[in-house]
Amino acid sequence: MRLSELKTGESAVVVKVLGYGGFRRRIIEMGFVRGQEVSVILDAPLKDPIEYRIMGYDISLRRKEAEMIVVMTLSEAKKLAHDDTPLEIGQSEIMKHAVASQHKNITVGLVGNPNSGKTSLFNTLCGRSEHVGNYSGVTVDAKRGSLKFKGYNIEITDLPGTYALSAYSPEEIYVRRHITENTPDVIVNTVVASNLERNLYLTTELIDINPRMVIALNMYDELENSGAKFDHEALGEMIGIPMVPVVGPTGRGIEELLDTIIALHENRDKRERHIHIGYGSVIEENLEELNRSLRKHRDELPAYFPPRYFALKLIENDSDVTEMLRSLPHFEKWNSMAQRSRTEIEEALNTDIETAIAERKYGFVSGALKETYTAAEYSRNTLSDKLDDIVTHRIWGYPIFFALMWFMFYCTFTLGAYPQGWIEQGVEWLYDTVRGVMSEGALRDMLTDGVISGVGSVLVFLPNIMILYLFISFLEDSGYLARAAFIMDKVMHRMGIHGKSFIPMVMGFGCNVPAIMACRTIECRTSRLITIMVVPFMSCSARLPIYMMIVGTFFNEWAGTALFLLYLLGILLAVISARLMRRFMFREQEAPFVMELSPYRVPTAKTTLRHMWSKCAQYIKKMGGLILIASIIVWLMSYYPRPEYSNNEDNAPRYELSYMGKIGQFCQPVFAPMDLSWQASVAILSGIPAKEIVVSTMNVLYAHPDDDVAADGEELSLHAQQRIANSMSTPSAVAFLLFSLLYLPCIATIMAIASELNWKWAVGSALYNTAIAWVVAWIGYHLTLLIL
Amino acid sequence: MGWQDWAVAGIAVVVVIALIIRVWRFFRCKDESGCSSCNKECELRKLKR
Repeated sequence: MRLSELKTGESAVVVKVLGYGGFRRRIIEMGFVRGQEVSVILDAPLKDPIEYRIMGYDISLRRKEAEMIVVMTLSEAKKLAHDDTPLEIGQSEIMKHAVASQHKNITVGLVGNPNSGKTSLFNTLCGRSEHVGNYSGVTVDAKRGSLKFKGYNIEITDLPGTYALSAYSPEEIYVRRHITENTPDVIVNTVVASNLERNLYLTTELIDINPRMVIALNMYDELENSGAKFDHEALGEMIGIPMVPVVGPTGRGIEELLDTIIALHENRDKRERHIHIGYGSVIEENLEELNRSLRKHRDELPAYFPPRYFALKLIENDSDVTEMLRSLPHFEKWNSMAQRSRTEIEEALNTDIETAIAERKYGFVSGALKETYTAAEYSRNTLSDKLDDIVTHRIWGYPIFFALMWFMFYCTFTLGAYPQGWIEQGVEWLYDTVRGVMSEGALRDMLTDGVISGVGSVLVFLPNIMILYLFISFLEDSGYLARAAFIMDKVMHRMGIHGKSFIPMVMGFGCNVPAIMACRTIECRTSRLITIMVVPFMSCSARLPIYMMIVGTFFNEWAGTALFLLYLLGILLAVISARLMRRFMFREQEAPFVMELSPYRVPTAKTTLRHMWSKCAQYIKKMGGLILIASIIVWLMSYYPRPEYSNNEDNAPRYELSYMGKIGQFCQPVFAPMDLSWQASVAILSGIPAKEIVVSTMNVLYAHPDDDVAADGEELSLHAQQRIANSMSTPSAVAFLLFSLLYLPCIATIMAIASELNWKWAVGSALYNTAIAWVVAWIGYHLTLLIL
Repeated sequence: MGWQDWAVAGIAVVVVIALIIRVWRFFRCKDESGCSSCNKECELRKLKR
């Protein structure tokens, strides 16, 4: 019986806990373990929750949760033991024996595609001869059979064949209802070994439900005869589900299958673990938001499925799940969140929600098979296969990838140079106009040297940022990035992390904050931690203006290549750091997991341009916000105090006596070994809130008219860029570049690390990055000195 | 002090207040402009909610 059926004052012993993995764990942790006595303190029929006593303390459970706990009363135990002794004598022994024997009853559900050999397998298992037809739809009803194996009674239900577990066909609804209402202890998912891709789609649906499951690789002899190669153990390890090759009609593999069923029931199978299917950033973002809301009220939800499953089905507008949840108090809120998510996903991916999710599931399956399955030669002839043969070629894949990266940076610099020049001219015109129109004074200086120089110097890099994001969006949307992650997997493994870490690292080239958030898709804790710690080495787009300023001034002829080498250095240091962390801090072996290979798509111009525009709008918004404030503050601190109010006995230049000058001189000793001026030191410090401020600070500090004039009486050029070029040697410029590349990330990134890990790691990351930056900058300075 | 100095002083006060408000909103995750140039929504804001 179920715990919810007990009346007030009655006692029983826990036999087993049903429901999905997370729910079972939670209930077991509360104390509802097998053999434990539980008694009902208060169970009012219309009231919820019910109060119980277990392990000496009182606990409340909702009726829905109590329904998922199988218990046995003493009278039931005596009936099972055929015992007529009075209840009060030898009760605990009878209970123990009865519970143990109940536990030896295992219920199994056979789930699989139509024509996947379920019934054939059922017949072999149960020694029956149910009719097996060579067409789908033969099994229109569930059949039950049983067998005894190694002291266990195994009851098997052969369910109708389905391709999925949605709510469209009667068979699908029937199978899903069976899983919820009958809650089999173990699901056996029959998968046709010679048609893995289609069959594993249903497996992904089952993974979402999170039951205890074993995959029976049926018709395995056909796969072996076809010439294809398949590492089923590796795949099973990756997806956390044991896989057993079987041949239904002959009985090959049956004993191993039954052993695995028993091991799963007894929680002894180490291969079993729960994974999530990754649905891509657009769907995951929405899914996680709804999942979070559902989890807050998980006590209200039916315990058959995890909250994430309900979230996914609500977004899919699954009618069955909608009906299941309709009566719940928060249903309206969840339903409207799901509707909003559905609209957002369909707009972003330019397809309907069912197709979007199905594509991601097939992407998961493709990724899994890519690593473990090699088809016989004749079947690899689709366009997608041909493309994959090229871009994921074990030798040519790498140069293709690096060539694409180089091309991306080259275009960022060269194509962006044209609109950059136009914006520069516009800024200069504005500067000269304001200076010409206004009379001399503090306000004029603030507007020209503070606002226009500061904000304008960052605005000029807008075209470059746009081009960079255009490339990143295109690579992501086309599906190439997933392939690149695949070929980089071996390299990532050498680094001590997984190929899945590659995508957050590439996202870091745009911005470190979402890159760090994207690390949540990495299942392994240590890989996730290492990836988060090395993401700051991926130079974000905010640092690009700094590079453009210095590279454009000092390395103009080969600027694109210099930029590429700079990014490459960041990646190299990330590799070394990851390796060191894996070797000295996190030695544990990680479980392998699947990298999704979503299908190739030609990204629509509309979506790509929309992505680009949203980044562009954010950048412009930042100009009017943080950059403007920072430029004015930096100007104020470098303009005051005025010379007439300061003690200037040594006739030092005005700006050195300013507040900013004093801060700079205080910090300057840190950068003196690299011959960096106090202005450069202050600029580096100003990059803590946002890296773009470094450029605006440099331009504000160098925009002040020099008090000195040239020997022939002409004023020196007021162009800040020229001043920067004059104030730095090439080795110092290299040191400045390297330091800017590597030192602590912006505050937002540090906070993101703190949120994902903790403050200890966040502060550690900032200090580590800055220390590496100083050392590398120092080395770069001296190497450049040697070369020049 | 001329009128330009007074104008700069006024702007300085406004900017400092704006900075304080911005920092406060950022740490409370109410910043709507996003904490970086590349997001349409502050990731930390979503997280803290």
